[in-house]
Amino acid sequence: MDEDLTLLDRFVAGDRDAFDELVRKHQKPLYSLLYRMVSDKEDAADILQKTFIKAFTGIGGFERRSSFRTWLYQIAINLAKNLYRDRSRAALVPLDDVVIRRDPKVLESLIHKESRDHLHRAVAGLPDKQRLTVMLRVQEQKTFEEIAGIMQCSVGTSKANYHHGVQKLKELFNKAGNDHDV
Amino acid sequence: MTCNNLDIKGLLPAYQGKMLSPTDTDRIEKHLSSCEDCRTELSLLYMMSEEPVPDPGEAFWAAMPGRIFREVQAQKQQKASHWLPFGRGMLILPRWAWAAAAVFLVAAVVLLLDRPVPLDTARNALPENGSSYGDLLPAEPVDMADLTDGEIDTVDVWATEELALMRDEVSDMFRTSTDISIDDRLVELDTQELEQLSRMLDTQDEEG
Repeated sequence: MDEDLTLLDRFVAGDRDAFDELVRKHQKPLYSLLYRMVSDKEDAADILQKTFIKAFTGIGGFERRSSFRTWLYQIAINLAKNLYRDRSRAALVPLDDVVIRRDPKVLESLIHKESRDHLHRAVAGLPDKQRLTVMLRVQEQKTFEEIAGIMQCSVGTSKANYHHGVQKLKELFNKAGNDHDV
Repeated sequence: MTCNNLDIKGLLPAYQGKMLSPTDTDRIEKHLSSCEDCRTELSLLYMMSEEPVPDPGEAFWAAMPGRIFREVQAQKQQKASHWLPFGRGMLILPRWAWAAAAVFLVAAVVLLLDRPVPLDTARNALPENGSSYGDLLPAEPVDMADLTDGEIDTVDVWATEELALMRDEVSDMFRTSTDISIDDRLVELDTQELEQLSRMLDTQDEEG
């Protein structure tokens, strides 16, 4: 049986240690994803706490068709999307206006703070599904199967979202590089 | 030039995360050596993955389970207390409401006890000898064909004892009673009781 499900059963039976273990196991990866989604550590911490509370108070609604981790990610992403929709969209720079300097020969130059900021805004400007898929694949190292579970779509769709998202970011890199050369 | 090798592109995040087998790693590195598009894409992936995430600190992580547990418990209690006002409202009803409820309860019990005795119950609990004839009648007429042999025997024993009691009572009445008119007593009997009395007297006559 899945380790998380065993812990979950112990928690439901009243084992407080199992609860603590579940939270400790998932809190850091979830926080990392949430921070990358909302770009604010206070918001990320707030959504992280809400994610766990929603999961544990609504544990009866978890039908165990997916893993507990997938279910947590679904809740976290939905909460972050709501916040993102409410707060961040107005402040985002439109994707077409993002200027990203291209320097493929030297990796170090790409990790320059200015480039990172541009990339960050470019990622944030991608359509929701592409953005989340790229983040889950690249930053959270999730498999396409896991992403399909979290995003509640087929594996084929998660692959397509990833490739379209990365392609769009890369085009912006090339465009920015050409602009810089001129 | 744009590379359309989706197989390689699909493996780039795992390559960047050093999660590929040696065979796949070699395959990716051979492809990268000749594909600028995929090198660019890999650079982009490195840049994304290395985006720093500020660490809230050990104190934050250590306190998180307890904080969430308390909040979960509080929300559960809050949910439960949604029903509490109704419960409390029931307990602080005015006295007249409690009195009305008590009267209703007593009336319900009386009605329940006073209802006609069902046939099966009447069969299983014969009245004591000496009861009035009206008390002896079951709630519904009993069809003799429905009775078992055991029930018929029980009724026979009871009837024999009852008739003996009636006979003794009548005999005493004839012997001792001078101030009560026999007509008054006979008037109180109904048809069935009169028939039983007549049969009993006939039996006595036959016995001498």
